[in-house]
Amino acid sequence: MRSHLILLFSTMLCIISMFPSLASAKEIVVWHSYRSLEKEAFDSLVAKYNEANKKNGIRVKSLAVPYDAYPDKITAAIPRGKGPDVFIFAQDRLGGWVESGNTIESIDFYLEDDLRAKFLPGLLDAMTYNETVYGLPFNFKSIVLIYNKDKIKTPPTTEKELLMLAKQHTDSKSGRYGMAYTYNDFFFHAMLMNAYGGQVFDKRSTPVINSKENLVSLEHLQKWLDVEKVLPSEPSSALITSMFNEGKTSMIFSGPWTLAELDTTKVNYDIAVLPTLNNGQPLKPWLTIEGVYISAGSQEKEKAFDFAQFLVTEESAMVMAQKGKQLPSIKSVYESGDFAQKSSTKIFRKQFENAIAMPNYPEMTLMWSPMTTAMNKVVKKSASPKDALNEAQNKLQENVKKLHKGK
Amino acid sequence: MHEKFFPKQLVIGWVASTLLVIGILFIVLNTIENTILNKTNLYTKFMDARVLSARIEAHMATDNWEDGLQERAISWQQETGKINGVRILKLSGAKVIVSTLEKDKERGGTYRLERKNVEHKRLYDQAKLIKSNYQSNRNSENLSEDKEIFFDQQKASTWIYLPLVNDKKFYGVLEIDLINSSEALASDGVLNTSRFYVLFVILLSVLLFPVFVYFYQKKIPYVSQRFINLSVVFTYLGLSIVVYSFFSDYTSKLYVAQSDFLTVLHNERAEELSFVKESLSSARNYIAINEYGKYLFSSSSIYPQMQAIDVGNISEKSFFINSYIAILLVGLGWVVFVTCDYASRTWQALKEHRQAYLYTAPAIIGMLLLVFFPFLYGLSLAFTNTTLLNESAPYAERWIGFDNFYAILLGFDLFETTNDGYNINYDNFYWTLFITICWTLLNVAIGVTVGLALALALNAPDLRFKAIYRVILILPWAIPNYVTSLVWKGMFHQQFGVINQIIQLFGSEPIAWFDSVFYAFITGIATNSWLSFPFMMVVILGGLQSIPADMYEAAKVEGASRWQQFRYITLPSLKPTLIPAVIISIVWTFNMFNIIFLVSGGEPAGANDILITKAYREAFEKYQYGYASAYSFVILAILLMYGIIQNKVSKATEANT
Repeated sequence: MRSHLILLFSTMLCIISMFPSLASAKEIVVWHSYRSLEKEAFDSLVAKYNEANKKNGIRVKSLAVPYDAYPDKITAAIPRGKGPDVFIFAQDRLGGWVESGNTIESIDFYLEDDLRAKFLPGLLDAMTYNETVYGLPFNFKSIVLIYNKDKIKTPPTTEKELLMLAKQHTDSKSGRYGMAYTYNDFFFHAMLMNAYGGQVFDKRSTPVINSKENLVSLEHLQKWLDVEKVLPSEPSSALITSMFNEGKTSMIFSGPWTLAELDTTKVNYDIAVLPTLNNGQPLKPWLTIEGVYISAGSQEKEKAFDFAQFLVTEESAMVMAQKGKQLPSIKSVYESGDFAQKSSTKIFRKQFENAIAMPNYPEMTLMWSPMTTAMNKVVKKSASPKDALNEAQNKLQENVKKLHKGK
Repeated sequence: MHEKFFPKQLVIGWVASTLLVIGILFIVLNTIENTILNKTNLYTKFMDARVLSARIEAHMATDNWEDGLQERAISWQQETGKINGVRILKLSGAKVIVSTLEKDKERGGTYRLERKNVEHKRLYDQAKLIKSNYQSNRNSENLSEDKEIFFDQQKASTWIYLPLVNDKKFYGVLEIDLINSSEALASDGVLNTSRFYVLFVILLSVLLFPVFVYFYQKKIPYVSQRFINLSVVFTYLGLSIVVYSFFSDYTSKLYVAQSDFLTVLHNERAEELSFVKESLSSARNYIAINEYGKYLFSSSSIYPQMQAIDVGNISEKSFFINSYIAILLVGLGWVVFVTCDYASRTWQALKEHRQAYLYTAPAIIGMLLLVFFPFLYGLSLAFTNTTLLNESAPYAERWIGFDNFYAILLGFDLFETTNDGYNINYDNFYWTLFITICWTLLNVAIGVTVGLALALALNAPDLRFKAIYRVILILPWAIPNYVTSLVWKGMFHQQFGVINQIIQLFGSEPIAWFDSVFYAFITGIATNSWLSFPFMMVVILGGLQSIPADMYEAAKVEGASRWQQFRYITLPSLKPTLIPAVIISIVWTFNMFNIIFLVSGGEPAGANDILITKAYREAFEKYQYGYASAYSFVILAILLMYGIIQNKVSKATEANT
């Protein structure tokens, strides 16, 4: 008899647990892909918000989603009425989500002028698609020069200095290269392209890959590779990090994400702003900007926006900067205080001035595959830059056309 | 057998096919009718709304036009007698400049949108959307009104949102609450005809049945079961063709009705519809198209649907044909299922093993949800041109029939011309198929050979430390294959990879492994061989140990050499274990995504992609979801064909031994 009761009881428990929505109160669910320090900082903000809003009956729940699966989960979940109320992601998928519909809520209407003025210039543009704002910029990342302090006394500010230092530290026989970066990755090559004023898309869906500027930027890369011979072959991010850690290269171009992988017991590193090219233009890397978006399927959009606004207050930005090691989007953070005084902050802030936000068109995603092919062909000399770019241009045009054909 | 020849299957099949045809009739007729009626009725509203916005835009050209606008709006409203209210939102400053809506009575005509007001946010977002669409629309080659003009149909009235343009600059949005008027294309007469068709089919079916039975019973008494089944299927097909021809005729009539209705409507509003462009006119008839280049109506009622196809109604027409074919195919499958005895056998099995099915039900339901649902969803995607941009469009609009499959299977552009002559087009399906087959065969051949050699070595009776060797040799299999892939990728690095360093030790030039098709292919083969031989080795080792030793002893007595023992005892005895292992390993290798994707990544330029990685790239790099789906089904078809052939062949071999 008793065993029957237990069985009955546990069955009921099972059934009840299948309806979690009945048990829990109304929540605002936030998705992000943070780990370790960033996650701790973010969770502390959520806790703070929950504490302050206890009496209003709002509870924010944060959920860390693994980065690999993140964009696909958003694409699949939200249009079907599932998923978060608020989510944080970089701007590169924004256009695609807006176009596919029912994913991101426009927040243009909520934006007061005071709020607009809080952000670093240009960041809100990255959150804007078709002249409508879809997210609040949260933080940004850009490539900088990371150098080994023991080998490079003063970081180069011009291309001439860069190449001179690089040549000094290059000895290809023993596998040493003065500088290194994943130049075959178009994301990294973009800093050369931007320095020459090149573009991938002229206006939306019109690729201009084979423009004169892009061609010159590739020829410039070829010069570094074949004439100056200061770069290792077949670079990958893992290879470059390990080369830097082992002292096989003393200057690398990479983003803040690399810093966590550097072994401070082996190398004494510092960062600097990317040097200026011989044509007088600085290297201009692409900015990736993370935004806070309101999900189109959210039942509590007002409250979700309230939380999003809380994330971009100066205090919250400070927490994300100091605890989470992020570079917040808020202007005032860089003006005074401990964080603003840090030399690395100053350098990232300065690099920000020489950076261009990566476009957020949905067509951007189509660009990677043909561009990777073109970059590989040029780097491996199986095609001239001109032919490679022309081929990529044709391929991209064809793919953009196919993408639009359905509409 | 022939005495009670009035087969149950025949009756069931007959009823099933009749019901199906009727079902098809209803579904397709309703869809077509609804689309046409809805479109025509909406178009009436569109014209009314456009007349008003044309008036306002004309008024905008005058000086101080915003003065006294409220009164003017009320007078327009009373004039037409069809409008419940209008509201004009000036986008810059989010300001409403005119409103005669009921809910805005207290606010008066002009006010700013409020941040906390949900309804205001909706209007603002709508205006923003119209603005951005308006601008991209003007820049694109094919202007589309669907992008600029939005309808929200409700019971009593329809809300319409249109762009207002002042001096070619986007000004704001006009919101109109239009009464659902009685002036609409009526559907009654047309519906009656469709009912007639349904009756006709039932009648035809009932009439044909005795003829059918008589024919088979009397004239051909020794008719086989299969022949009856086939004839049911063919009758179903024939009936479908008859119905189809009625359908075409019927839809033509619908288009005529639509066209006539719009002609009358247009003549009534001719003065104010200055935006209507007339074109394609000839002596006998002309077609009017609106400013968006969309078909409005034609003056001729002879073959208006033909012209409609030329100008704008392609989607409806092709939807009609495609949906008909699709339902026909599904119906055919159903008829075959019922008549060819599958249905009754399934039912019998279900009844007989009721308990067994009950016990396996959770697993079956799980399989249905996790395997068959995604499978069917993927199959449905394969017939559409779904991309990232039109994912949320209705299924009918994305439907393109077999076009994806044609594009894949009939794309014979294997070569492309470039500046330096002919090049292989690595995106072509047949190139990828060729690479996939080479990849599979070579891998399995290497796996079996190496596995066999190692198994034979390990099977040597006087080998010491056998267990240690075995563990070491199984290790590659135990490590996750993506880890192995990344390790091998590192080993093939041009400068720092261990393989090139060994090559350099012998004084040769380092090889750029991922630069040429051949070398990149080798990298994949090397990695996969490393991963696949342990499996083969273990299987063969098991097989070897089950061969009785006395066979070898007998052979030795007879004076057989080592080779003869191997050839006539070992190999034949291994066959039963080896064949299933090879079959599995072919399927695995055919779809070995990780190795290709992680080691060579399809380099150079996608030349080394196999079918499965290509499908991935189509879906997640180019966002061609529909095409990628069709690609996967082609892969499935290939494997299925292989499976069937393999089954037959292995059955034959089993029978021989």
